[in-house]
Amino acid sequence: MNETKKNNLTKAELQQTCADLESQVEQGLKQQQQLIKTKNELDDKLRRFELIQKYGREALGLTTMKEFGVLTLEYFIEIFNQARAAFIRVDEEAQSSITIATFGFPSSATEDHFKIESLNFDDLGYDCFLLSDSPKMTSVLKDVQFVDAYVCPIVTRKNKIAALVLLGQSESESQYFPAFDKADFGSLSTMCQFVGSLLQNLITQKALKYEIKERMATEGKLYESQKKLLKVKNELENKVVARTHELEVSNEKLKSEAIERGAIQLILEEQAEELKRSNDDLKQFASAVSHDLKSPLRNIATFSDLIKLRYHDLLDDAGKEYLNIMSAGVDNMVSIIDGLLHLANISKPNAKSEYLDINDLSTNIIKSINQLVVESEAQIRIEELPKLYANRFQIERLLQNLIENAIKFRGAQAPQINISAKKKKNMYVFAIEDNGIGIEPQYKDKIFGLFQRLHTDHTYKGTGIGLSICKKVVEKHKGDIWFESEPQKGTTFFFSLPG
Amino acid sequence: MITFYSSSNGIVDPVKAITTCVNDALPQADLPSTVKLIVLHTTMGHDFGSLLKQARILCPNAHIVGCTCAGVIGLKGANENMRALAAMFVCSDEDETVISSHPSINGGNSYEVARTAANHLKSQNAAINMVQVLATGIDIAMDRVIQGIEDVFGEDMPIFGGTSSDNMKAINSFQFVDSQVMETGIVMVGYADPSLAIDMVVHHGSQPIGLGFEITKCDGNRVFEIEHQAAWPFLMDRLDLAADTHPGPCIPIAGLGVELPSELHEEYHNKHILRVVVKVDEDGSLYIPVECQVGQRLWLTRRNEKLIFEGLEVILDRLCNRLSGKEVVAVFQTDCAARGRAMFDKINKEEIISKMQNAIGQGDTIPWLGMYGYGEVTQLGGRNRFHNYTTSLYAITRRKS
Repeated sequence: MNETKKNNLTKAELQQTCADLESQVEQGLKQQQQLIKTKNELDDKLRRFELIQKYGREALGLTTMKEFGVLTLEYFIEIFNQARAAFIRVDEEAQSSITIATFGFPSSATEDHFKIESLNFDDLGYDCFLLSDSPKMTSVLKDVQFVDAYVCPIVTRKNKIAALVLLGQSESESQYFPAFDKADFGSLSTMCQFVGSLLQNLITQKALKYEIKERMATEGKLYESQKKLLKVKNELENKVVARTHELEVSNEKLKSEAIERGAIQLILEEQAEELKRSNDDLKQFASAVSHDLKSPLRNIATFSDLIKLRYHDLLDDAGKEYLNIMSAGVDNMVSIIDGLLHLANISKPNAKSEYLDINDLSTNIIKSINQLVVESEAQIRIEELPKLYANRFQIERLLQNLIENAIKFRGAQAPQINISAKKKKNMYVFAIEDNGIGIEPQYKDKIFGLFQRLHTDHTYKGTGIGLSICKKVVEKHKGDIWFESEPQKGTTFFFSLPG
Repeated sequence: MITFYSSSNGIVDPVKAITTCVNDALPQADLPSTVKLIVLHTTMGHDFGSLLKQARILCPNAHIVGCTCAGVIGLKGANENMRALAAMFVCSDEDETVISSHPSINGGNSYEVARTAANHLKSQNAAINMVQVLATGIDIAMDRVIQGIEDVFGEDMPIFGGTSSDNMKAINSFQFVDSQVMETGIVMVGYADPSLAIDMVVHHGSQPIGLGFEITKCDGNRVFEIEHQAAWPFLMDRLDLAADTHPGPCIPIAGLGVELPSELHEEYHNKHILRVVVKVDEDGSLYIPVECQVGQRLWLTRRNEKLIFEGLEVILDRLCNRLSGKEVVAVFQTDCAARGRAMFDKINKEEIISKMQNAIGQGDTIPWLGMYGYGEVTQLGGRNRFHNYTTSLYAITRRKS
């Protein structure tokens, strides 16, 4: 029946039916489109939920605020498909802000552009809002070039705004990016709660990590200090052990040295005692020589003089000559004994010293040997001589011996003697220069020896003790004695004495 | 020998995004230096300059071509976020890939520009055996582009690719060549590996509504009047929308059908080829991406889910039959922007993509790069043609020696 009726439709009815069907199709298309839109919105919500979960997993592993800011913005951008974003850390108490991260802004957008410190953070509230709904905030952020933005306060568990996320687009971007939709506030709030918890977690974790780090650092320092102390202690102990060992060795050495020294000291003392005894013996010997030797000599001299006096006429010439030789021998023997006594006296310790004017001393010596000087026709010149602190008796012997030698060992010419002195550093160097026979070089080392005579008695009389006495005197006064000589031209004796 | 690697992600930071793409696609340390060509598809939110700069740093020996789109398609599926990136990395030992480009193409100069670019391509390597083209999707006559390329390489040269898009706003789209970002450009890639071949299929699944209407005034790709009325207000009236409605939101519902020659109906699984309107002038004229003629009939169309899924089965069967015994080395895909979130919910979209990837891959992971653009260049009836509102698949195969 219906088929029949349909076939009998008029053209107008058919057109109307077509139009109705077309309209129904269009309506169906629109409904289909709406359905797809609704399904896509649901898909989008699901996608957002999945992304928020993913964000939570990733953000949990972060350790720095910068990383946290960057990741948070990346997820805000991905979830809400906006063009640009900023993560601003807020300190409500200090009323300060710092930009942690930005996304999508040109490089000319500096941190100063995001300063929101002139705002009262308490007035912001805890809910997300559109930037365009807050004229005060819009004016603060005027340089950021947002055509509009979602402003998302990030509230921590302590009910404090700890950060703000700005999520928006510029005018040129707004033609492509999705328009702002207050329907997004639900998802934004969910995301913000998530961010707040994670931020609180990061702050706590950061504080804990800081404390742990600090403690570990302190423990580390303590450990290091302990380690160092232990090392120092061990080093000290090792040093003590080593030093103790060294001291023990040293002690042992000292002990053995002390024993050795004790033994040496004993030996030295014995030697000193022996020397003293020898010295005393020598003194006694000198006294004995003086007394015991000179006494018989005096008898010989006395009786030989008596023979000369009483029996002069009874003696022939030979007897008289023998007596003269005997007297001369006695005189020589007395001189030797006197010389030895002088030498012995010089060796005496603690000889008294005094200031001596060597000029006066030399002049007096020359006077005392005047007969010798006159007989030899010697010319003696004394230059300016210094004053010295020395033993008078010994210096007299020194000068007299050298002057007498200069006269005694004369050449063909009358002796020309010059006595002079020069200061050299802390010493005076005296020179007694003559024009005598000189000394052959080969005798250089021999001349200051005891009983060393270069000539026979027949040529030049002497005992061989004089220069030994001179050397002894100079050495006794910490000086030195030497000579320069040219045979047949003369000799200069030098001696140095402290000035 | 050319080899392909692909990757995609939704990382919002451009430097991280391309770096991750390179690392995921080319895990071996020495591979990035062997890349000779990078084909990039990105959605509108990314900082293109940063993307290209970092890509050049990571693959210093590679040319870069690419374009924006409403969403990217990779092995991980589709991503229509504001910041999504997909890339195909093409490695070769020799100069087996060459590129040419032009920064300014439009409906009026499409043939000349395309021919010039094709000549430049050929001058670099005469052994090119397939051409990929990526061009602006706003004002262009893609049939003339195809003509320009064919006049250089011949009608038998397989051409594939599509036109770039924004995120369905129909405002602007961008093309890339090396470090250059173009707004009205065209980029061509010539592949010259004789061991490679290409098989392609196309399908849309929409049906015409009503009796259709006639173009009564036009010039090139610009339609001034339909049924002697200002073209765009006429269409808006038919859709019960305001005359000044922007074409962007209308893309999913304002597809225009043009009748195909009858010999193509079976292969196309449809009697009509579709045209999209993405640009409208203040005088009510509209632009479609091919040249049109007075007297040509247009139909408003509606999508038919049953037809869409049936068509998908048909083209996949057809492609898999053709691929039987061949080694598939890469797949490019160009889908209409309207076939993304505007047409399908997430579940349907994922189902479609995974169905295609499973069918072609047969268990293997094949490098895959796709985009939701404003138009598709795909062979039909043995000839290169420009389509809208389709899914176009291009399977690159290696001939077994």
